Amino acid sequence: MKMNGFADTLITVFPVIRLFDAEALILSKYNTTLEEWERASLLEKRRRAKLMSLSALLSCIPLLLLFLVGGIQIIQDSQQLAPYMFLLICPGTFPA
Amino acid sequence: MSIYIENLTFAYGKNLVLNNINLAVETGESIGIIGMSGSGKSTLMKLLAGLYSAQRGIIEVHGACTPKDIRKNVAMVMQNAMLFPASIRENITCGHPMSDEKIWQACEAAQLTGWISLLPDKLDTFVGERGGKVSGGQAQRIAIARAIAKDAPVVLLDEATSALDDDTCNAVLSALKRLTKGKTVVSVSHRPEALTGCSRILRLEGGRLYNV
Repeated sequence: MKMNGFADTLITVFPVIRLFDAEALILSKYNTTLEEWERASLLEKRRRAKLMSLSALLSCIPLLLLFLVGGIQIIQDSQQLAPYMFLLICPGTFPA
Repeated sequence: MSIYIENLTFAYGKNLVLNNINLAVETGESIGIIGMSGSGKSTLMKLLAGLYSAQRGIIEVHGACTPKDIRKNVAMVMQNAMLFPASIRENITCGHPMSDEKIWQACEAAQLTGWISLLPDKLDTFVGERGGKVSGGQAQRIAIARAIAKDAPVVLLDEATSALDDDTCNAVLSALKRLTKGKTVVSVSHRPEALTGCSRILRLEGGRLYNV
């Protein structure tokens, strides 16, 4: 978005760049904007990776609960193994 | 002779915009060109500024004939002040080495000193993308300061006050007066009242120049 804005500005101010010989100034501004965009882009990717890790961890909670609650119930003999295994293997139970 | 045009013809594709234009402007003379929208005024200004090359004919500006050399002799203020996404200082110097004294002199002539002095970052204030952080009048005066700082012998004013309200227009006109002092000036406008002070007014119509 920011780089598109800069490209748009470049087209608008093109006559002034030529008339006032401002190529060097605009090139340095372009590089600065590019570096800023690169930094912002990296930061966003890092944040996205962290959120995806957290999401993966959270999506494991139902499975862990199933193991914990189901396991205790089987040990206490209040639950049979077959329906528990069915629930465990059922594809919808596992996180994507 | 500061500006000399002989048999200049220019077309956008098959659309002939300027047809056999002849013009001579003496050094220090100030001329005005009026014409309807789309009559080719801005095209003529861009040719005079060295932004376009003549397709046929001769353009000589302060002894320079090639667009690259012409650009060195010309300063131009356009209808919409085109500011770089940079500081006020950089917009005036365009990245060229320039003393603070010269920058402040240009600001003074463009009537910017009072406003800039009130800004926390003074000359280093960022004007925003396309001058979004300054008003239209301030942007136009920064463009005038840039033209003053260039100190070119020929000044081109392309509808320089058309986009401004009356109050701002007066301030900009007064800044323009200082910019054009002692220079060869070509102003174009579609409003005759914007060309007061010109020694000669010409009308551009049908691709040709006529005396008014």
